[in-house]
Amino acid sequence: MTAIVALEAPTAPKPLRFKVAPHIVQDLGLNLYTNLPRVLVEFVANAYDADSAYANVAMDQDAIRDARVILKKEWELARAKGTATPPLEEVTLPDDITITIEDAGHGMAREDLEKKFLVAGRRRRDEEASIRTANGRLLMGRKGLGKLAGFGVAHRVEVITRKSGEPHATKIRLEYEELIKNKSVDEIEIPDEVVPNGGGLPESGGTRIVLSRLVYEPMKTGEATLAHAIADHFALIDTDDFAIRLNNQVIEPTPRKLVYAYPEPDRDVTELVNHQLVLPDDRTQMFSYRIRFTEKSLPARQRGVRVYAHKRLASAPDLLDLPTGMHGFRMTDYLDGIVHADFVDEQPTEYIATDRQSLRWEVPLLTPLREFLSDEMRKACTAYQKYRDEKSEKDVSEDTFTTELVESLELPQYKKKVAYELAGKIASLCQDGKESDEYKERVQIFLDGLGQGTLLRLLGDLAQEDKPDINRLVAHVTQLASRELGEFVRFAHGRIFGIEALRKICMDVNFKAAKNEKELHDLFKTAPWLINATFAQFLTSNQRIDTTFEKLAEVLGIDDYGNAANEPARISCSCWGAAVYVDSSLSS
Amino acid sequence: MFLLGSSGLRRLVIVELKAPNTSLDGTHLRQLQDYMREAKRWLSDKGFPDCQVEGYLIGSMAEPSSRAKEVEWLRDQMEQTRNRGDWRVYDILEVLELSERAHQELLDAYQELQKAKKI
Repeated sequence: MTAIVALEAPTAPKPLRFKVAPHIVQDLGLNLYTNLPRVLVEFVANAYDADSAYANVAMDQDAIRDARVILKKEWELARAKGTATPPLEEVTLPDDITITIEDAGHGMAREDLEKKFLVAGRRRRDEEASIRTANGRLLMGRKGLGKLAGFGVAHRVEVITRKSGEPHATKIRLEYEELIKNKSVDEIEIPDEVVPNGGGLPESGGTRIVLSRLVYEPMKTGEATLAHAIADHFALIDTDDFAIRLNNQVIEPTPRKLVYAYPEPDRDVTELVNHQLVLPDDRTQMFSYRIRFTEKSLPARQRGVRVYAHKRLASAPDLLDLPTGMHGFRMTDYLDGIVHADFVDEQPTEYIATDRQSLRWEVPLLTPLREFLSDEMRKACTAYQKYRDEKSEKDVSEDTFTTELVESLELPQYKKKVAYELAGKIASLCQDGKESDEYKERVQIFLDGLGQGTLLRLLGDLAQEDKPDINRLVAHVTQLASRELGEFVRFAHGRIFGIEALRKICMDVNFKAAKNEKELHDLFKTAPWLINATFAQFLTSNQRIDTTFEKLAEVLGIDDYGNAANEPARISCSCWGAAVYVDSSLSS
Repeated sequence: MFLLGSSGLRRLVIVELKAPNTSLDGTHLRQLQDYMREAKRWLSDKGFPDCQVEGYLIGSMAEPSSRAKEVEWLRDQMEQTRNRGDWRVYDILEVLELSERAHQELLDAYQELQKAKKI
């Protein structure tokens, strides 16, 4: 008997699938865009790419501030009661507090929302095979991720948009908690609704983004900081082409008074100069730049070169490879460099970090630019230091305070020149120049030192003469006395500060309880004027009586005292627990 | 500041500083007076009979309510001399206040002279 067995062909296993969990929203929104200015610039950039003439941002700062105060109190109360609470920075403000960003761009139909807006990571430039908008603007957006930025500061993002020519607008609402509770991004359904009468948007089209359920922490940014940060981000945009408003006011970049620019310092400080770099593989890079310097020093995070691409910030201020030990490094306190390099944003590969705070400087395409800019900053700092020194020297030579000071020293001509050079250097090192108290105090000390040598030499010369002139002697000695008094005044001020500080220490409740006799004793030894303004010379303390008298004998110049320790001890005290002082000339 | 060895000594000050956690009393003053007496005798022996020897006792004054025998004795001594003799007793805060005032007076005097264009 033959058994027939049918062999079944093995079925092919299902292909493996790569899935993206909705928590990617958390990583690309909440974790990437943690501060309000960075979130808002993403929506403003979308408005620009939609060919809108403006982006209007509206938010009630007072309401936000009040809500934060209340929220914090409630949170503290809940914690005090032992109620489980999320970290304060993650708590959201009441639903009715919102931030709105509105534009009059092309707007979107329902289909556009589905195929464009609701596709995270959509590459518009590839799909439309253009780097320009319909109106010819260079596109700012690239990765299609900016739409997720809203979740960095809000748990609800509403989009109301009207496409040009449509009688209605379309509204969708994205809820952060709803998005992340799904297992896969494909499962997320976003309900939409038709808003009659265009939702208040112009017939020509437009989009309104409403952020609500705002997160506590990012809402701390003040209005002025916010306005300047957004304006700095779009600093190269002509406001006639695209105006950005915050609560109906056109925003302005951080006010900076520019006083010098490199290269070509004679050109207007606001102009950029063009430059072409040739890479080792013969590719060329065209860009414009200028290393500028501000009148007042900048906060640390604003120092360095900013790189813009397509009129949008691509890299935050950075001193790149500038060596800290170089000549003129202090000038980096004022360094506000700017680079406009569109080529950075026009490469097949993305070289701009998603949060637009830095470039991928290490890649072969950008290394030459990095080296060039570092070198230009170095040269610019040296040039600016030289410019400041020369300007300061000229300024101080025309400054009444400085000229009176130098003239009062009666220096020979060659030393006068040194004095002005020295004063110029000091003025250029003081942040607020020759007008500052810092300058006036320092220059006096330095120039007094310069004058002292001359005066002492003059007195020395006088002493060498057989018949010194009495009038010259009187003049020089008077001048010397005056300087000594001037020095005393400076010391006296310092002493008063010291006394005040010690008095505060003594008034502290813990002071009497502390066993700090030794510290006090040492302090009075070092600074006898703490006890009396006329005490200047400390002699000895806590010594055997014979040692004390030996010291005293030295001071008195008693030659025959000899070794006091060998003298018969007529005083039978083994040790003095007191400090001994002798007075100074001031008492007499 | 002059050099004492070349100009002659006119004044010697002995400062007895007590720990802030100890209230000043009569034993401290007597100790200071002993030191002063010894110094005077030594200076006189060495040919400086005119040298003025002063003493400062500095520390924390006892609470006004204190009725300790030595504390009351010290108070009596201070009252008798009005704290103006060749020894003086000061609370540390008082010393600092006096010193500050003295410095301020010197500064004021300097400024007055400057105004008058004398320096």
